[in-house]
Amino acid sequence: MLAHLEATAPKASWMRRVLARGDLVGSLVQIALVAALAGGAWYIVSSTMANLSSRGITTGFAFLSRPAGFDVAFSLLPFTSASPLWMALLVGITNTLFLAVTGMVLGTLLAFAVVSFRLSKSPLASGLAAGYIGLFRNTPILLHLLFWYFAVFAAMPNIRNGLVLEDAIFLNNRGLFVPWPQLSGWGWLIACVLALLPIAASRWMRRQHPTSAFARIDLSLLLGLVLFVAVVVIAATSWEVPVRAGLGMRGGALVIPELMAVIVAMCTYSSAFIAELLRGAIQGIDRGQTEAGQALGLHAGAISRLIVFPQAIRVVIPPLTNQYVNMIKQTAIVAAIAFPDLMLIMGKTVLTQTGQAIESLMIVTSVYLIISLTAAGLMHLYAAKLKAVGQR
Amino acid sequence: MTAQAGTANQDRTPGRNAVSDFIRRSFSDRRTGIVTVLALIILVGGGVPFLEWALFNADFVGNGPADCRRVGACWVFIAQKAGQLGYGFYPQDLRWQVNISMAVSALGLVGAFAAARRYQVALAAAVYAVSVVLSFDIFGGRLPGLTQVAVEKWGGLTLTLLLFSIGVGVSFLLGGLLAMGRRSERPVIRSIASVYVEFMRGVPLIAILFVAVILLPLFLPSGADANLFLRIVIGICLYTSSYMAEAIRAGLDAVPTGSREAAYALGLSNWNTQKLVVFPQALTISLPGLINTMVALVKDTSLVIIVGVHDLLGSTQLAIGDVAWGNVLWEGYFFAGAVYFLMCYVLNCVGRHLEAKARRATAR
Repeated sequence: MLAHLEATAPKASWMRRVLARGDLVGSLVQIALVAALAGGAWYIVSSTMANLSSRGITTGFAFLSRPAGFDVAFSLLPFTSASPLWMALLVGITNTLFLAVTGMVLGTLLAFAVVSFRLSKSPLASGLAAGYIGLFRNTPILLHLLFWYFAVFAAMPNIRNGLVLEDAIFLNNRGLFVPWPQLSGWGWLIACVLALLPIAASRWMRRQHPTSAFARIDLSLLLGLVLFVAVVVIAATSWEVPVRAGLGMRGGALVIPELMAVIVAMCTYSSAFIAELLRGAIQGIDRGQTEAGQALGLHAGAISRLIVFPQAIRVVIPPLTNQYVNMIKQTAIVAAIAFPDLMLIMGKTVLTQTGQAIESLMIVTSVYLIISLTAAGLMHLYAAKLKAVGQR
Repeated sequence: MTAQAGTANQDRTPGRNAVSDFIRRSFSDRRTGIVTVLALIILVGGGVPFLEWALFNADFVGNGPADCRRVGACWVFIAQKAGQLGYGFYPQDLRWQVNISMAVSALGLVGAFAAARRYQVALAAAVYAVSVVLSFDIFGGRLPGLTQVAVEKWGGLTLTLLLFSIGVGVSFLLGGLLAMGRRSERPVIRSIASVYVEFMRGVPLIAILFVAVILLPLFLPSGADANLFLRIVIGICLYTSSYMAEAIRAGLDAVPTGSREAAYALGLSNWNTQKLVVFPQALTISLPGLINTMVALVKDTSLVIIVGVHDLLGSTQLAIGDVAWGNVLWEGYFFAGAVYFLMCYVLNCVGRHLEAKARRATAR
């Protein structure tokens, strides 16, 4: 009601509010602040210009169209050393997003397992989960990353002595080699569409028959995964199986050790934080809700799926948004093990190669800023939508 | 909570011993039983080999790599490298300077905290500022009578602690100002504080550190060459202060308006209202958030190794790289992890203690 009145009241112009009547000190302070900022900016710009000209560095973003001249160890986009530098930037962005999304999905899945232990009535399981959460909350993620990389995945035996499963899957210090299906673009598309079908169906079912097994998101995700795998297996013309070739490996798909280390470190680390958020949200739901479910004769699984969870999700969205945005930024630590993400490609490789320090770091910071602000904005929209549902 | 669980809880008669109660609760219904068995499998499967490695088969005493049998952990390595893990490459005969610097910064933090608790805000800030400058200069040996040591030789746990002790206070003060700025009714102040906080929270610390290390020398006139440690401290403080600001702002938002109005009605000045009425309540409310930020700061200090400074984790990394010791990766990372865990755990304990104290004070 009050907010409504405030919104309709005529708003004083910005300048009016800066020079508010009766607030002489405030006006002076604000003017002084603006002057100080402008002076500081002018000082920095002029000394930067002087420094740049004395070092013979030209400014501008023209360097982005030059050929890269370096290779990247992992890329989802086609990239060679002849590709332009802006392509390297795109590779960095997609790699960062790939890491963040993988970490979010797997971390959240693991968090559900951790929180189910944490909230279990079994003291042993609850204590184990508490220990797990405490361990990760009180140690730096960089330590985990370095451990998984240097002490585990890079310390694997070499190709000759590495692990081999069924002569098709190889795990050694070069990474994980798995067979890869030869499939046309249409094949992948059909597989993806079919995988999404059960999920969409479950959303529809949820409105029609909320208690039916088809409305369960976990089961529909599983079904989608099974369908995806089935389509790929059926439609694949052949499988490219990795083989040892001389000192190296040939064929198949490769997951480099850096990537495995990042994914394991990010998942385990973030799962502890997400589990703690979920626990807070679930425990915050009024006990009366559970009891009402019991009175209706619902079994424990249905109560948590239909009553506790939807409410807990609403509570957990804002802190979870923060956690996800943090994870996007957290991926930047992979620069420590030389995984080519945005930070490493632009902030280190391109910067040292071209000497365009200001431009490179400006690009890095603005891209991170855009990604985090967009992610936060999308999550706020989702939270607003959930809230609207709750108020209906 | 199923109906079964309810009855299981009810027939827990007094007089049963703890062991049978524990077992009863572990297998109160089918789901709990399954989870208990899973937890047992994880605990035994992971715990037994770990204990064998870390304790039963480990070597604790010795003078060199030859004293490790290599069937378990080689803790001799940690003992032999303790100096490097603690002080980096700081010259051995000058390490007393570091110890004094640590003592000064600890005294400064305690003194500032004690003064702040007596509402002597200016005194607290002054004590803290003096201790920061002193401890930094003593660490670098730049006071008369001390020997100068180059930044490249600083390292180890003491560097982590120095980073933390400077970062925590400076970013707290900056954060307090920013939080007040974001709540200000003056639009220029509010927008500057908001833009700053949102910018810093949207960018990874590593990017800030890169900017501080690479661009700061470009931004300043060629004469003003801030040393590497100082540049890193600036970066960390700028970053952490935005998180401190958000933690403090949450507390300020939660202070009831009535408190402020009561203070004004008593005739307190604006400054005294903030100092004596608003901030003490706000900081009590935001204590969990502040402790979380501090724990994050301890953990974030490890990122400085990416810009070439060897704190505890960096020194561990260097020590592990000593080929004479062979493969001591697990020992090194385990030790560093244990030290970080201990630091964060102590911080959490202090936070809980302060919270409990505040709760007692308000309940009285």
